[in-house]
Amino acid sequence: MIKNLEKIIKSLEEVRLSSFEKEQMLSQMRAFVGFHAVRKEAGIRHKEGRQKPSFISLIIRKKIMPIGIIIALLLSGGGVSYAAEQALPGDTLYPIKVRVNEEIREWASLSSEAKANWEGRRAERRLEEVERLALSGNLTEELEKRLEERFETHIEKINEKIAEFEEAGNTQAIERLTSALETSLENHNEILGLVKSGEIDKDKILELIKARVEEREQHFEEARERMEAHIAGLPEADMKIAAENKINAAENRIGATENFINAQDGKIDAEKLADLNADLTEAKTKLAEAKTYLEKGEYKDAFMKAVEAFKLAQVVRMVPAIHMRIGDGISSTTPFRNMMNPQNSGMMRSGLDDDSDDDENEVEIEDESDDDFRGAGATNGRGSDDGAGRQGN
Amino acid sequence: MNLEEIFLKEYEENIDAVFRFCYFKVSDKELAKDLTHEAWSKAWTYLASGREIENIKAFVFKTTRNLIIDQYRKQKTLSLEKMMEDGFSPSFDERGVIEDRADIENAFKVIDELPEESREIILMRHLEGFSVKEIAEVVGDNSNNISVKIHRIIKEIKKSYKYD
Repeated sequence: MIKNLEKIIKSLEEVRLSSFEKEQMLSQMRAFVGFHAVRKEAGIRHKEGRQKPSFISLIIRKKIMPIGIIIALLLSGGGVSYAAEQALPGDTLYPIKVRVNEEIREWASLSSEAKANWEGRRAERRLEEVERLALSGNLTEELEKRLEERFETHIEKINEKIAEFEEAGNTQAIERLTSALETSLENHNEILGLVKSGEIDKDKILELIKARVEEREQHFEEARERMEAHIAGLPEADMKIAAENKINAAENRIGATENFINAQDGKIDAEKLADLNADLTEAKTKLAEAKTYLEKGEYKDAFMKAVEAFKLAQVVRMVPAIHMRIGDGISSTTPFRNMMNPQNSGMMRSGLDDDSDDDENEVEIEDESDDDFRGAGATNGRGSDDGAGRQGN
Repeated sequence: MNLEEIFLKEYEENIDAVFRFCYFKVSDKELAKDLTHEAWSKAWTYLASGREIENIKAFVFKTTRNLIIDQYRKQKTLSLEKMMEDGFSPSFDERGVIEDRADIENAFKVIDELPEESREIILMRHLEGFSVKEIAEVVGDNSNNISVKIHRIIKEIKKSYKYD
């Protein structure tokens, strides 16, 4: 019985997972990490012990230090930065919009794909600016040239990212990026063609914007299918947290929309206001359904229902803004009515945008479906509570 | 490599160690797998919220430990038979089947009889190769105390089992 104790203890290395189990768990963890993206506004630094910083902490630190600067910037000039979002070329605040706000968002996008998506969104924003200037009759040759140059810069950066993805063999990222971008660019092109030819036919323009929305809905549907597949593979506890967080998000969004709609009283005709309110009520019904599912322990359904409620509330808030932007009052035959159809309630983000955009006025028809789940996880405080939270003890 | 990739690499490299740590605490393979996943998920959530982790392995061990303290106090007896029942297939060296099997049986016997804290300290030190400082971090004690404890536990085991 006399033997080296260390060797005996070391023999317990035999207790290990099979390669199949390991692969299975690794793929679960990949899904978890993919859905719980790094939170962009992260800024709290916790020093754990006094060891040398690990590689991981260095990476995090690289991201965190500039966040401090950004927070300082936002604290000192947050209002300016927010107001700048509405600026057009030629406006005093326009440089803040493109050089500060957009740069921050680019910087805050962690993954290559998120950066590429944001670059795509920036290219779209330049086209939207051309549209807005053209529609208001303020598009000069010089402004158009400047916007075109900026647009080209964004496209060059996107091409660089695509080359990176090709090198890494990430064809899915290329597919997602290009399919969303191509459709959107074609659509903008068509609108611009109409505007510049002098045939400013608002009905036609609305039709085109609607087509863009529908295209994004399609994109959303695909993202939704991916999301459902991922959720189904998650442990129940994670599913529950995700559902709870999404329900909270939907509740907040409905509240914000309600305030926004109330503020439109008098600006929109009563009939349309009633329509918007009816849709808002529907969002509330969906929210109630989500809560019921949650109580019954049907977390996946609760999550998906809360997503629908969230999206619907978001669309209701966007409709008046869209009409205002093209200088149209809300007409009696608004083609956007179908956006609020429950079956089509899952629209939004083009997939080109990796961040939530709470802008009250800017027209952002976006598909944020991919973010839904990530957001749910990233805002879940539980992870840092029991186990992790005791790290400093 | 981005943060996700670094994290997943760490996960892949350390998954067995964390799993073992759980298994020796709860004696249930499936539960140990769940705990392993949960502990790493918490580590990721912590990182993703922008906070720092100096030593990911120690962090996950500590998280695992807290999860177990919170949820699973009960522990069954550990044994090679139990391990085989749980579906492990030890890959014994062909030339040393008997010897290896005996080693594992003895190892189970030794750790099964150790009090909880001594067991985890010994496993971290001699199975997973943790430094004294890392063990101190995981169990929330200071390095000096841990050194003393390791020395004392080893001495006791050697005395009881007549090991070198």
